[in-house]
Amino acid sequence: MTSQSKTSEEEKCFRCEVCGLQETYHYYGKKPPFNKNVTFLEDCYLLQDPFQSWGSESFLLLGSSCTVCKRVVCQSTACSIFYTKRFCIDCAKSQSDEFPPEVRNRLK
Amino acid sequence: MGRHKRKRTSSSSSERRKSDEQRREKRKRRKYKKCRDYACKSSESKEKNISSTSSRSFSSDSSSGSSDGEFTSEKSCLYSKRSKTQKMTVKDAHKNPVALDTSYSIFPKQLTSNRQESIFPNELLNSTGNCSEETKITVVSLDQKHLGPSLSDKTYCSVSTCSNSNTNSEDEIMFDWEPYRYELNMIFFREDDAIKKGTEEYSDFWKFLKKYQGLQKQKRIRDMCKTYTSQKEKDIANDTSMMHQLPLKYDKKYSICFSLNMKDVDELQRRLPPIDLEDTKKRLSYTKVAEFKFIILLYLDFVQRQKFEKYKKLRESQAGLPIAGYKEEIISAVRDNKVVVIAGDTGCGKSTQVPQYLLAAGYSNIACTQPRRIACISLSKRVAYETLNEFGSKVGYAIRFEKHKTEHTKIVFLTEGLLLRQVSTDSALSMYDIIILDEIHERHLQTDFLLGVMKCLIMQRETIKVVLMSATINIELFQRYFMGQAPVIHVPGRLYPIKLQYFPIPCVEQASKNEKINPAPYVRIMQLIDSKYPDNERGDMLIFLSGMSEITTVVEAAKLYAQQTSRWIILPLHSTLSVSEQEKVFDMPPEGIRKCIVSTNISETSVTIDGVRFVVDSGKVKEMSFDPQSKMQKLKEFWICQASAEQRKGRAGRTGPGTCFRLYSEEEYSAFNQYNTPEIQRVPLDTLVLQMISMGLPNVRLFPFIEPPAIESLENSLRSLRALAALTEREGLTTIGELLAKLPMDVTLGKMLIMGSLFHQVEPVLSLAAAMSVQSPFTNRARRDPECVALVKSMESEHGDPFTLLSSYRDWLHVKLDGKENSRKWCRKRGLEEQRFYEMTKLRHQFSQLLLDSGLKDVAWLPRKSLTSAERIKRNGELRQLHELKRELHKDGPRKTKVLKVSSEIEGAVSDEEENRTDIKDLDFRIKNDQKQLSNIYRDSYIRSFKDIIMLKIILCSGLYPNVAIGDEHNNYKPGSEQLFHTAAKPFLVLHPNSIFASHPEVLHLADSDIVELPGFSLRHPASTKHQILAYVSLLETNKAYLVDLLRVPSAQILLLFAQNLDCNADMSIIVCDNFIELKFPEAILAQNLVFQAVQLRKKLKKLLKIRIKSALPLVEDQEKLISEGNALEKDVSVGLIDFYLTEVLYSQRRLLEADIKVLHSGPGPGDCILSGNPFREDENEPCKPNDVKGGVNLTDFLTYNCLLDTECMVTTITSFDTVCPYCSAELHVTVLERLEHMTRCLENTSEPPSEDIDEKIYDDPTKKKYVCDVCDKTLCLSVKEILRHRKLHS
Repeated sequence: MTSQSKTSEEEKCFRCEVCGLQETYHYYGKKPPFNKNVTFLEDCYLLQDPFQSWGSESFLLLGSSCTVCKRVVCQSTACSIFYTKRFCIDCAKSQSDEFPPEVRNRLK
Repeated sequence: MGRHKRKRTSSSSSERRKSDEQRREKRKRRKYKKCRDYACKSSESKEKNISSTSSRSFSSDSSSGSSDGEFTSEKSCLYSKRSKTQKMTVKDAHKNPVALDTSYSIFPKQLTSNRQESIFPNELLNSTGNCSEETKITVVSLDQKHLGPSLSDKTYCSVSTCSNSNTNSEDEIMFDWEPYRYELNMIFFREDDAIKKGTEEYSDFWKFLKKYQGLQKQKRIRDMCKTYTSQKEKDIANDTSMMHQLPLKYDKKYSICFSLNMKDVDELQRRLPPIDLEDTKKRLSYTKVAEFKFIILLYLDFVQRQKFEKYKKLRESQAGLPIAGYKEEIISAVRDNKVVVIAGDTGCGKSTQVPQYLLAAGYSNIACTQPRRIACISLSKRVAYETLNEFGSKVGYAIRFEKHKTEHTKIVFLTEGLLLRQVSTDSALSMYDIIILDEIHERHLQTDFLLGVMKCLIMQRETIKVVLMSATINIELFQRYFMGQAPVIHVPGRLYPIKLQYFPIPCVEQASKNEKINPAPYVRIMQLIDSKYPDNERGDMLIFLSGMSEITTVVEAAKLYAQQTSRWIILPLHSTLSVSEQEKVFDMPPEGIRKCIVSTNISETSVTIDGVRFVVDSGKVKEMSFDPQSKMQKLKEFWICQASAEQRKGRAGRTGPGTCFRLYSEEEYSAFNQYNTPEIQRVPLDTLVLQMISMGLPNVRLFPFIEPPAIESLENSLRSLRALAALTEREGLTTIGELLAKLPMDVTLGKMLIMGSLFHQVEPVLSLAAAMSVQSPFTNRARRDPECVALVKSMESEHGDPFTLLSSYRDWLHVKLDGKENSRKWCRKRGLEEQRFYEMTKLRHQFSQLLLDSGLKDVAWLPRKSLTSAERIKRNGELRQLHELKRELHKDGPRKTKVLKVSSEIEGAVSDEEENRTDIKDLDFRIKNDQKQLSNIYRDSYIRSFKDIIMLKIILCSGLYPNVAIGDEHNNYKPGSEQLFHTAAKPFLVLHPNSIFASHPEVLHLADSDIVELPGFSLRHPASTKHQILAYVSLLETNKAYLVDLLRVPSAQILLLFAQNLDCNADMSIIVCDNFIELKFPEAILAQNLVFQAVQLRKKLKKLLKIRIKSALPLVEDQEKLISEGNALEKDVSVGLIDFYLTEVLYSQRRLLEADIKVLHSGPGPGDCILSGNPFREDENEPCKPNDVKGGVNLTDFLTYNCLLDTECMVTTITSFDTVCPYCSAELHVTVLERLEHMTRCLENTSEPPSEDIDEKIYDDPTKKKYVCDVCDKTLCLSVKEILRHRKLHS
């Protein structure tokens, strides 16, 4: 994953395999260099917050890989769900028994 | 709880504080009792749920009063016990994540639905799920390195479970973080923390916290009424799922995919101030610190989700644009063609998306032109935002005076004018790979020019790509223009179906001549809508009218109707409304009420209002047209063209299906022009032509215009540029022309600035030019309201309107500098429009920048005014403060859509709130202009002396000429009656009512005492020394033809100085200026002297300009010498000009009629042969050249001698007469030309400039002559008039 983050900017393309959302990301991993206060629990595709000046330590999380099928998905609730791990919406639905009822409700 | 803390945080009144304190005291007591319960019970029975007992014990305890001392001891006891528990917790933490806390994530929807609007949307509330059935456990903490919570110790768990009981909850419910802000700041909001104290995020967080607390409270109240967790629920608490080991017990924290890099809670707690360490009562407990840490995590997650939603929404809205489907087509078309036309209607997204598509396709150096500056800025902001580059420099803009781009900039939005400027320095535009011309259907002057340039460019450059973007108007024209080689991509707009209804206005309702418009048809349509469409169907109405007075009429009538029905809100919309008034049209009407916007064509394209369902189109537009012949601007009502009719119709279908009512018949519609006349066929082309020539076009007539302007229009411009001495006879640039071409402004203003810089009068001329370029700040009220009139009176200058404008500007600046009075109020009191002063300042600044850019300010040799370091420091501090204030003003965010009120307030009256609000324009003004700069402007705009006024008048006339008007001989110059004036091209004009001369025409009147009765001079055209003409800035035709912004000047002097053609008779007693005004002098000698002086001054002016330009060049030899030579000459010329201006000379003036001009010239004949040399020759051998058309000879390029058909003149070119040289006083017997020759020689010999000495001056004054009085036997030096007066003395 670190090798990926070293690749040239042109190739840093994030694409959600569910909705097709496409974006050039800035960082892939758990500890983004532009935000020291946060550690991600999974390897994520991140952008430096485009809505704030670049000094600020905020980020825009695009998404990550599904823990089951390894597809890259965006964090939109229509595409994936995070419950201790990232699940793409299809995997989550097919294994909905795994989740507590509160999460299951949201999958419907 | 700490009293000192409350002092620190609470800002409430002392009384409230007192009751607050009491309440706290009570709570404190309860809490401590409860704590005591906790402490004993939890140590006794660790795993049991003991809430029932605790509840019981609470009730018993509360009945027995206990002293404060007891509490303290008990509390400390509790503390020690709790720390033990904590230790255990940490140890056990890693094993398995057990759900402890749920309360944080419980925001039951049903409880919040009735709450007032919050900044936090319901999604936060929903996402936490419905967990009301679960056990509520208050204390939680997360060890961020692990998935699970660290505090999962069962002992602790049981302790916290106590809180489920009524007793504990009450305290928990009332818990408020706010009093702990100070401590929390120390723990969580330090410099290197995720949320820093004092930032926007920080205050946002506290809002979040408040909301969170509120929800928490409700949740707890609800839980209080609940019984305990069922055994089953407790069982699943620790379980995980089979396959992925997911905790089966739901907790909000599992949905957060990141953790905070924060110290452990213990560590965090140690950050608490030492006082609190000792004073355990006030101390934030471990659990509270842990809870707070979790809240921060929750907040950050909330923020990041919100951010993602924002991002997603952006991408979705982009993908939803009609143009999105054409992305690939556009990219491939651009790849394969040099020119591509994209035709799409408003709202299809072409302006924002196409540059992005091209950028994504790998192109860089993209230029995108816009007709308006404001569009450049807003588009660059929008595109930067959409490309997630809001804070980068990938997308920039460039407008004149303002550049926001770096070498990293890939897309630049710029004005058409600026791109044209760039063409003149780099004709291949090699800095760009793709040039996008947007909104070309608007067909501005510069659009058409650029189109021509592009056509040349694609021949010149192989690699360039040109993208033309237009609304779907007249696309074939553009296609044809590029020989059909440009593919057209049609992008549909986003329109719903629109029903079209024609309602021609019946004859009886047609507006009569006196009234502008009959509002009845408009009201009838409102009635129709009311009867046909139910109230609950939303949809607003938009009426298109031609102008302001029509709008006022219809608004009045519509308001009456609205009052009757109370179903409408009527809003006018035109460009002269203030911004806040304009913004009202975007507000929402309340339920069941429609808004009716009565607008000019401003909302045809510029302003887009959503929610319009009904459009009423009057079919009329008021447009400025321009008559190149008379240079008259006309504001006239026209039928609109079909394209704009369609555009208007389209406004009804933006948000849903709509209806368009056309108040004309279908036949009339089909008779409309298809398209608007392009600007190039409507406006003066002077500036354009000058620019074209300066770009090196040898013949502007051959330029490949898309639709060439009328050839007369081009010829006219060439002629007037020659008149301004900007072009040579062969249409090459003169020195002045070169300078003017560098100044992208009206050529007349440019010429004034050039003249001003020659005479060190740049500063006041800058102010004057700026004042003359904006609309007059004087409103009708300033002229009618007696209070205003009285206050404005001191600003008025009887010299002319530009001076009035200047002094009003100065007065306003004074108010600004003084700072004692609110300038907005000051303006309102006087009926002045403050916005115009802001515009003046801005424009003045721009002009000044232009001068600097062109090097003209160097020509003037003005010292650059820079601030000293102390001043700079002071200014920086000031700026910081101002920016701070501005931020505060913007804190409320951009204007939000409001709901309109039905009861309309009195129009025009500004509410007190508005009055007292910080004036954002004033702030902006003060940010842009420092005090010193302003006081410089203030000081430099001051006209010190009468001489300055004269100088300024001469400078203004140099630019304004040939804009002069002569009074009609029948004018009575009485206030209240109309005075007629004539210009060369347009007779019978009236003075604009705003002009000083309209209210005080008497200053233009030739008093009887000023008239000298002489034989040969009729009463109609009497001889006087006081003849005046008016120089004007513009002509405007509305219902009458007006002269606007006037200046009164002495006729002969100004005409002789600036006229392009001076034709004289043989003794120069008759001079015809530009075939327009005839000057007749009783004393031919004086006329000769005057002409002689004028010629000399004109020559010197030319020389001065040359010296100044030369000395301003960098690295010129003898710069010092040139400068001092220039300065000496300047002094000489300015003294000369003022003397000349003040010359008293007797003459009559007469406007020549068409018939007079026909028989004006004698034509070439034998008399033209003149043997004597040319007295005004540039070099020794230049003979007098006969004029082949008019006859006579050309003495200079403007002066033709002896070409007038004059039967009365006794003198011929060869007649010698006795005369005296005004310079050497020698008595001569010579012909006219010989006399002038002699004077030239005399002047050359006296190389010294005329001294200021008065005695000498009299003799120097060529208008005066030696007069020997027979009666008193004295030799006097008097002018003709003085002689006459002198004679009268004796009689």
